[in-house]
Amino acid sequence: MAQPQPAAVRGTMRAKPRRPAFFYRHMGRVSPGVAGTLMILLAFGLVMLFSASYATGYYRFGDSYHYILPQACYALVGTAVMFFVSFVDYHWLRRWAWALYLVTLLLLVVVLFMEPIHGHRRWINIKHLPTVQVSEIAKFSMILTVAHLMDKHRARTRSFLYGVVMPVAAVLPFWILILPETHYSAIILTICILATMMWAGGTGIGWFGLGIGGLGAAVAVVLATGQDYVDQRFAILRDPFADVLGSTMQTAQSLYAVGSGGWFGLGIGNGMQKHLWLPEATNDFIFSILCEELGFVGAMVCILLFGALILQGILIAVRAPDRFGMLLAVGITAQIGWQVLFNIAVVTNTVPNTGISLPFFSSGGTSLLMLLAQMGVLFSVSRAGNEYQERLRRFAQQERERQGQEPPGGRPKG
Amino acid sequence: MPQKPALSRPERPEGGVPKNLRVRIWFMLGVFLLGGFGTLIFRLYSLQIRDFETYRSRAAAQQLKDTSIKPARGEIYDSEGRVLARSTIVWDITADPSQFSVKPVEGEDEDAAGRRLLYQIQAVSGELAELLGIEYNEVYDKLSDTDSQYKVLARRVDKPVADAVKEYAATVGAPVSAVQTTRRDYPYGAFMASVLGFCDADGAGFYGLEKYYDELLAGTPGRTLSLRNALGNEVAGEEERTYPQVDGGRLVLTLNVDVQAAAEKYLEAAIKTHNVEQRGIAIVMDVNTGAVLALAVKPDFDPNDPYAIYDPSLAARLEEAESGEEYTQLQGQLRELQWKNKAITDLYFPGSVFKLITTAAALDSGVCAADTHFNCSGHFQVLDREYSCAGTLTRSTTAHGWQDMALGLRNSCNSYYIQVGQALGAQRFFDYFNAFGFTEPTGIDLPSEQRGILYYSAENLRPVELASSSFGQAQKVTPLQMLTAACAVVNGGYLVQPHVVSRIEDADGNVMQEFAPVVKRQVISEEVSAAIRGMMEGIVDNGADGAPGRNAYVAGYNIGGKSGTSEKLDEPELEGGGYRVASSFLGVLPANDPQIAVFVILDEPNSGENYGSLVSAPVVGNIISEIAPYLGIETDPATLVTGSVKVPKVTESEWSMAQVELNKYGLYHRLVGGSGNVLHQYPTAGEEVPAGCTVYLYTETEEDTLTPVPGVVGRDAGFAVQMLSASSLNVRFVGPQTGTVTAQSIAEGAEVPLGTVVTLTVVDETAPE
Repeated sequence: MAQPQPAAVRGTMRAKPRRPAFFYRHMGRVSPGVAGTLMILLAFGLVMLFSASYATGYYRFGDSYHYILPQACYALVGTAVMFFVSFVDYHWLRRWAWALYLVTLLLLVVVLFMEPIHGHRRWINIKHLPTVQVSEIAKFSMILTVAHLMDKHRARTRSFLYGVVMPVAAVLPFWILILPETHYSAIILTICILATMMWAGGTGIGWFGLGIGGLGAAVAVVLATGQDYVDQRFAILRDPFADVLGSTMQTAQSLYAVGSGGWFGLGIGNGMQKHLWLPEATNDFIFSILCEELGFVGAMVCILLFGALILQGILIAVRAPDRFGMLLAVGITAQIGWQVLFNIAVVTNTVPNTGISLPFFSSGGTSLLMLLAQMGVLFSVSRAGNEYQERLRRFAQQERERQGQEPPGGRPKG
Repeated sequence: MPQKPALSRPERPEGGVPKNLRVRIWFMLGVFLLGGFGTLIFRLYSLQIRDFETYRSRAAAQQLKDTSIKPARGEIYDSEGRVLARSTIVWDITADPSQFSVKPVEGEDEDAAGRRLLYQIQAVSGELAELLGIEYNEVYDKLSDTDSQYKVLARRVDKPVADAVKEYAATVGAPVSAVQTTRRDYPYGAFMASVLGFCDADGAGFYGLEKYYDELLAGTPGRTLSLRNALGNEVAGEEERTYPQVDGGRLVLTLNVDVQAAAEKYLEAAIKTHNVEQRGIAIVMDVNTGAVLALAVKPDFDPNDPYAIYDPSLAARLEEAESGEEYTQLQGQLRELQWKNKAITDLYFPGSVFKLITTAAALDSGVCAADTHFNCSGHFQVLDREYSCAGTLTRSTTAHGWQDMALGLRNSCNSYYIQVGQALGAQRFFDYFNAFGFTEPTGIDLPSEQRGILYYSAENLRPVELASSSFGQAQKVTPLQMLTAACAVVNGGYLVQPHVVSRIEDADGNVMQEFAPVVKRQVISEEVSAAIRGMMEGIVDNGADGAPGRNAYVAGYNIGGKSGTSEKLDEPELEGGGYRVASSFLGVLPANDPQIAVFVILDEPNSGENYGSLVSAPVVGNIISEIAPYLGIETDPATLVTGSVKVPKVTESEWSMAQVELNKYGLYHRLVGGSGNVLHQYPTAGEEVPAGCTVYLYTETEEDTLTPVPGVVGRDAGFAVQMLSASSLNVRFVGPQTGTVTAQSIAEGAEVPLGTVVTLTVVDETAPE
């Protein structure tokens, strides 16, 4: 750890380097709470994925470890990447924000010409390489870009131009390119994350009123124009058992799984719904299996862990040394929060079925890897924040010493 | 405030998050966690705790696999433990044509893929057709219906075939499977069919004993509850609950395969010879217990394939059907016809056999005595109805004159019995009619016994009806009712309940129920019964010439009988005058202390003379000739033929009459060839042979069939007899009949005609000198 800095050195810190170093020169530690919570969630997710996937793996591929083995490998690599990234000064990322933005736009165009998977063109699908869902990249690119812009123009975020038009205009090309993918869940998610960041970034509260009104109008228009796809989803929401063998099958099976759990569930590994009854049991509907096997109590534990992670993510944000770090932390935390909220809302048939995975639980190696890398960025902000808070604390102590003429104990507290 | 020089004023670190934004962020987090996560927690509570039962039971409904375990259907045995019906495990071959698929090939269009799929189905169809031994087209038509998910390709195939199909399906990945089921086998084929009945395609009893005792034979299915995945397969390693099945019980019948075989053999031959149109019945019953030893209805069906029309002439009639509709209708009628157990479902006029009942009623009530005489003038007038005597049918002479009861019965004189009926009166007649069980089902343990029995109650028995009833031409009864009542007449007066099952065993052979004879009531006195037995004995009269029942006689047995030739007065008159008839004969033996009754009915025979005494009595006699020695019926020393017999000439007579003739001489007979006139016999007429020899009758050739003589020297005498009779040879003994054979009259290996008498010299070493 860094030794206590002499005052003279602090003076040099004040003049910020124009080009931030790749690694921190001075940094605090990652808050142990958030790191611990994340590790517990990651382990929980892997155990749950194994339980949920061994049957599907066995039936589909003759291999019970078909899903869990790669996932575990990605989790290990991802954890290493996460800690590596946590040592990287997040300001360095800023230099690459627009570059990443352009690459993302390019990939979003490229993906439209890729071989479809399950009838959707959402993945960079090159033979012998892991598939990558471009919208995952777009989410981070968006967070980075919006954090950059709203920090750069932080003095003017209350205005309509800089508080609303600028961030929305930045993300708009993404939405336009994602629309042909018919990947509505990605659009909804990015809207939610963007709104959260704008809220935290100081956009005038009045504009949110307008935004909510506009969103409501948009939803009304979509419902009124009656797109079949949307209509059908809402029909399922109303009666999940209307067509158990067909369109409502996934939702109905999910409810069977969740409802069978009771207080304590059937016990880990004992669930029945993963035996091909519940489609996507390893992916978007893994939380149903969790509910079936661990019951209401297990589901509460999972939700509390996510709650703790989100709470600590927000804590990192408010303790960040600057607005850019704060917005990065809010954006990344919001991504986790909204995904958890939407995923569980879908499996409990609270909102219509959209394909949103549960972070750290759903199978998908590259997705987990990117998620952990983003957690690395969050940790990086945590390091900087803790260092900043340390400086604040020391300043406050010096102030007290100065005001009390005499240092009370001679030594600063460790 | 002045600054202290010792400590310079520190600079507050720059940056940080402004307080207003921090407030915003915390507010947002609060809303998100309380509102968002709060909603989720409430939803989870609703689903998992509040509505737990609903979802749990719905999930269980789809996850639970409730497999029923089929119990093995119980066997049916004859009285000697021979298997008449048993169930074997077999397999149904089924397919799911919708699951046929071909691996996609790059750059192939849909048509090409479709053609490859077709080739695959053709190849599989070809192979399966060969394995299953059925037509290619039949298989292909089913498999090519790729919209279907379930087709049955073959039912009830044996294990080797099922194994071959399973292996083939696994090798080529065809969606074909073998499903275990059971098949009901009747090892004797078209034998005892109307008693046994059969099972339908689902294995449930459909007719006969299979139906009557279906619940017992079927057993109770077991269940296995296990968990299954969405494909319907059991999930490995999950605990399952099994409730074992209870296999079906077994029936042990009173019927005996050997007795039944004799009854069916002679009945079938008679039906063929006399061109019987409405089937024939032969029943052998224990007169004292009501146990049925044989119940044959011919033509019948093969319970292994009950839907096929078994009788060739009926099948030919079906083939002549012109339209499909006509075919289907006729097929249904013929099936119903061949399945019906005529002995208990058909009603008929019993005719003169019923005179036994009238006799019994008259004697038991004391209205008449054995020496009550009535006159017969050939005709009898009752009100406006003129009856002609049955005797006029057989003889040109018109009148029987004055007769006592024995003579009246022997002459089967209608005039006599009309007068007996008049003496009894309607009420008394009906009381006995009722007491003899004609107004109720016999209660035999077989299904579909006729219950809508037609009879005149006492009030409706006006003089004409009473007159007709007294000789059995007014009231319709079932053949079994007639036989049961006749048994009561001869067995001392006891009306017994006929039955075909002697005991029920569980699947392990433990006796669950024994059926003791059920005596319903005593109808007439022992003395009256004995008197009538005497009269019946007179009818057969040891085969004396002119005795009406002579054709039922078998030397050595004291046989009583009564014939009946009932006219079907309720059917249109024949063109040449007269009516169609049902010809019957009832034989009982030993006549002085009856053990068994043999009852034969030929319904609508088409011989020149269709009298029961001429067409049915020979069947009764022939059946007795085989079963009486087999059952060990007591012989009559007075008529038992011993020593040597001169073989009568039986050539040129009709084969069954030839056999009847041999019965009278205490000789057995074996037919070589089909029914018809006897062309040749061996031993030939006039030859002296030991009593009990078998005479071989040839109906198709005048040439002897030759057989090599086995060597029996040094063998035990009893064993030697068995060896020779197995070679269709007769035996004469010189010296004692037990001991060791020391010489045989015809050398071993010599080719001699069937029936040749081989003389054996026997020395009994154990016998005292």
